[in-house]
Amino acid sequence: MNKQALRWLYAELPTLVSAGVVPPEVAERIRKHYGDVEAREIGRRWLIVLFAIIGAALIGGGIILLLAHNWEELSRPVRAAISLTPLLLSQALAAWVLWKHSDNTAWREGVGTSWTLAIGIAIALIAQTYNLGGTFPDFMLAWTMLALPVAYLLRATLPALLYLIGATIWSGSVLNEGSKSLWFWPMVALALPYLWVTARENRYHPQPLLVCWVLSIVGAIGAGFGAHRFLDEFSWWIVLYGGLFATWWLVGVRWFGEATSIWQRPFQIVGGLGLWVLSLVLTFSDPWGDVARYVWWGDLQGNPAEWITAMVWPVAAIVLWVAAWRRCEPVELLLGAMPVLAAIGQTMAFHNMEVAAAVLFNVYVLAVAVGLIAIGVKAQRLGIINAGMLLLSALILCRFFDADLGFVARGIAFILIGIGFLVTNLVLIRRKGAAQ
Amino acid sequence: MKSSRIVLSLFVVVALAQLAVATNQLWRSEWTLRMGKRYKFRTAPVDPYDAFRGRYVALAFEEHEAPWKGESRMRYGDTAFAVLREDAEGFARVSYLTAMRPDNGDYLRVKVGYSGKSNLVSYTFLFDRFYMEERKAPKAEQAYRENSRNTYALVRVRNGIGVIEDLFVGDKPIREFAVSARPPSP
Repeated sequence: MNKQALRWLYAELPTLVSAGVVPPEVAERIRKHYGDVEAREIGRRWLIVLFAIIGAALIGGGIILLLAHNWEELSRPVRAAISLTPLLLSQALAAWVLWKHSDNTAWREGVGTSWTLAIGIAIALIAQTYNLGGTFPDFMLAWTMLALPVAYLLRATLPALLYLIGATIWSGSVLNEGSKSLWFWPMVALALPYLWVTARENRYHPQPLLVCWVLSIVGAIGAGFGAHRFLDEFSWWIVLYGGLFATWWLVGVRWFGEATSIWQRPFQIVGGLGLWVLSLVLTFSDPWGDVARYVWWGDLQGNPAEWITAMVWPVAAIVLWVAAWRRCEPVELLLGAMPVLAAIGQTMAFHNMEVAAAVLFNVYVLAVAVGLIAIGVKAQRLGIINAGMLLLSALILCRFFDADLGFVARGIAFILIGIGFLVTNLVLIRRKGAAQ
Repeated sequence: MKSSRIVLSLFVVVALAQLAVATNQLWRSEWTLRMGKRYKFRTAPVDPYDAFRGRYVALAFEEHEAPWKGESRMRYGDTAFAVLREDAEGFARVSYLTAMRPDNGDYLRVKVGYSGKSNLVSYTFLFDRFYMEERKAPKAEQAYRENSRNTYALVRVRNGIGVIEDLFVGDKPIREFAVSARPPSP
């Protein structure tokens, strides 16, 4: 049904109900059936935006390929002028959008995408025309820094996302240049005002959500790049990533606590999955063995910035965890404990107690799994129960890799877990149905 | 009204900055190619796996080490100036490296590499590749590799900037080589 007809129908419904033509529950059912007009509109608008972005990206990519051919028949100045054309055209289009269509998201995103690509095209093609050397990191840095203002000017999210991804690629490309990759964080900070501006009114709007999704993923990658010498020399990844994922998760719970879908929980999902995988990895004793083996007090002692970026995540996570104690949120307390245990495990492993550290994590994962199932049963929430059961089965699966058990034993164990899953779900679904 | 004026001025600044970065490279390179002095730099064989990177021939140069002149020593990755001269055969040689921009003569900006115990310091030129059309490049690269002891780059040099004008295999520009290496049409 089209939007105007739906608006008319919704406007008519109260009159029809009061006149006794339609009973109130039927009116409510009609509303439920057709859904919210605004929500439908937002969905459709974002579909158009998506097509605008894909179109702009395809055209930009096509231009790159066409010009990369290096047309030798054309004279050098002509080729140089052609290299600048996409940039000039994008700038002209952007001016037109700012002037005439500054409220149209599809135009802003589409033109923002092509403008961002055009900057890279111009720099790369001029370098190609004149056989300029130049390194890949220099190129990435110039491109990203010149592209960032596009996001702010056009209030376009895709250029902001491309900027964040570009900053991460740059940071990864300068890993062999000492602590240069730490500049990733100031680069990320430059994009944060954009997030603030878009999230100010509604943090569940697609624009800030997209930025948060990309930020939570590139942040995890960039944290590793920035502290790569700590990761290499102290096996610090255990505490660093434990802290980072716990921070993501706890921040997500606070800021996106009213989310209604997975899509609206970027930090919880990335942080939660990270904690999940990391905790399971740490139930093996091999990673702990490396901690004692590969400690090297290289040339790190003189660089405070590296110390700070390596310490900030575990410290932040522990501060948030302590704050969670006051709120008495059991799920937060369970998952947020991970960095504390990681630090304890790291200390144990450092004193050659790697098996004890692995046992500690086995107990922890078991406690989290059982805790989640208990919390889920109490609150009658199937999602939490299933998360706990999945974690429990993953833990059992991991131990099966360790233990020298036959196929029959493994087979029986999996069948039992499977039956457990089915029964719990069936019972809960029935109970919910009966309650309704 | 006030905010739209701010957006407009920001737009102008951003657009000009982007154009300035792009055209600055363009202008400096074009000007060097038109006004710079020609130098012939002998190229050195490169790792065959490294030589061809899709659409360009990767270059290494025979000249890669020179004595250091001056008090201050440079660190790895710093920029220095390589003072040029021509040898008896007409090929470019680097007389010495220095931290200060020379007052006269031709020189190139280079990136300082490692230095040993002697006064010799290694360096790399800022030009290290030669782009070609995608179909011609593989043949050109083959010719370049087979004759890698007899190849040189013709570089225009001006105010410390060097821009490769052409790449020669023997006496022929590599582009002609690529065309002549093509099998004769029936």
